[in-house]
Amino acid sequence: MNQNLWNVLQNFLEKEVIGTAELALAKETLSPQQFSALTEYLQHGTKKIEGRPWV
Amino acid sequence: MKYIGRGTIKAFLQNHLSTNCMLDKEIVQYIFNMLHGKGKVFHTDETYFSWGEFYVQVSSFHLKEDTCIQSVISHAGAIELLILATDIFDEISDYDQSDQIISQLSIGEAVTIANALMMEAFQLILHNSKTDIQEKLSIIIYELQNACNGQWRDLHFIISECIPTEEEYFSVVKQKSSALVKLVCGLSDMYNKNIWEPIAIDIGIAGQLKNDAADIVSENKSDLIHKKATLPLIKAIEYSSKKDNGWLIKKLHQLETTDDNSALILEIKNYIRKTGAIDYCFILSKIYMNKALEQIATHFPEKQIQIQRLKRYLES
Repeated sequence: MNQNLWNVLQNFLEKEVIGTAELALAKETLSPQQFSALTEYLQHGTKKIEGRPWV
Repeated sequence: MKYIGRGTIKAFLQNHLSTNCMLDKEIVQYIFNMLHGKGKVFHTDETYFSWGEFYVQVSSFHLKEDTCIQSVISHAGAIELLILATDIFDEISDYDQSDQIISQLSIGEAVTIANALMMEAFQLILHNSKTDIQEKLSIIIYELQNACNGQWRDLHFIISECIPTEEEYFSVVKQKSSALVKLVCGLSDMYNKNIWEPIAIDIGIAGQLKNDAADIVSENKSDLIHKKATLPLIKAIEYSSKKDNGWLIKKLHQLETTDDNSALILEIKNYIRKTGAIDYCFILSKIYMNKALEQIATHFPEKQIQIQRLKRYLES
């Protein structure tokens, strides 16, 4: 199941801009949980979570 | 019941270590200094995770009006000491030099302090448990043994001729990283241990994924130097073998022979970022954390305040 997420990210890497078409395809491919986490991540970017080890 | 904050745990540990503890003053001073590090209860930035506070958060799901608050606080203090002991042992076994205080100690000194911390933690739990002491010790010992087995597997989980798979990574992480979360959850809500176990596993996996991804983007961490088979590296190698005939593996081999690795490490880190492996791990971490929080919401629907507090805490 994680392979789908990896494939979606690989698809994103090939695009200059991630638009509604790419997101629609991702929504079709991923589980609701994966898609929700992906969109949340895209909204916040990595700045918020980088370098904050908690374990 | 009133919420027990980080300040209460700090005050307890301050008082306990200064007045009630029989350890040598120099050892106590080192313990205090170490408890000011990242992820520890005395760290100046209180938005950082602390294991003692996490214990209190999980305890809040079953506290009643007649619960002995002092027992919860002292157990939270014991958890801080116990986890610090395991951190020291991990630093020694990983040859990690990232902790300024531990790296200045001899191995003998570090082992002695870790041993002292562990004994002090057991002492605190023994002295502050009116009931269920055998069950508590059984949980602690079982999960510490699990953590030892996980650490042992992790020590040998490196990139060599054979590249570990994603599935193998999750198997190691499940054992290594979830044991301590299971220990804290099991100890804080013993009668719901079975409910918390899968939740703890997901929280542990989420935390480890985040740490492994953060290690690649951090300047000070050492996973790459030791060729630890973390998921970002496993996925980046997979990418490299498909896209550029294994450029990354060749570069990793160069790490063995090059004396000054800093430029090479930077090059490798930038490459891993561009493969999407870091994003992948951060998103997976989010998925596991969401799964854990959903399970908590399902099992404790009447505990909305505690759920929201724990959610904010784990996502901060």
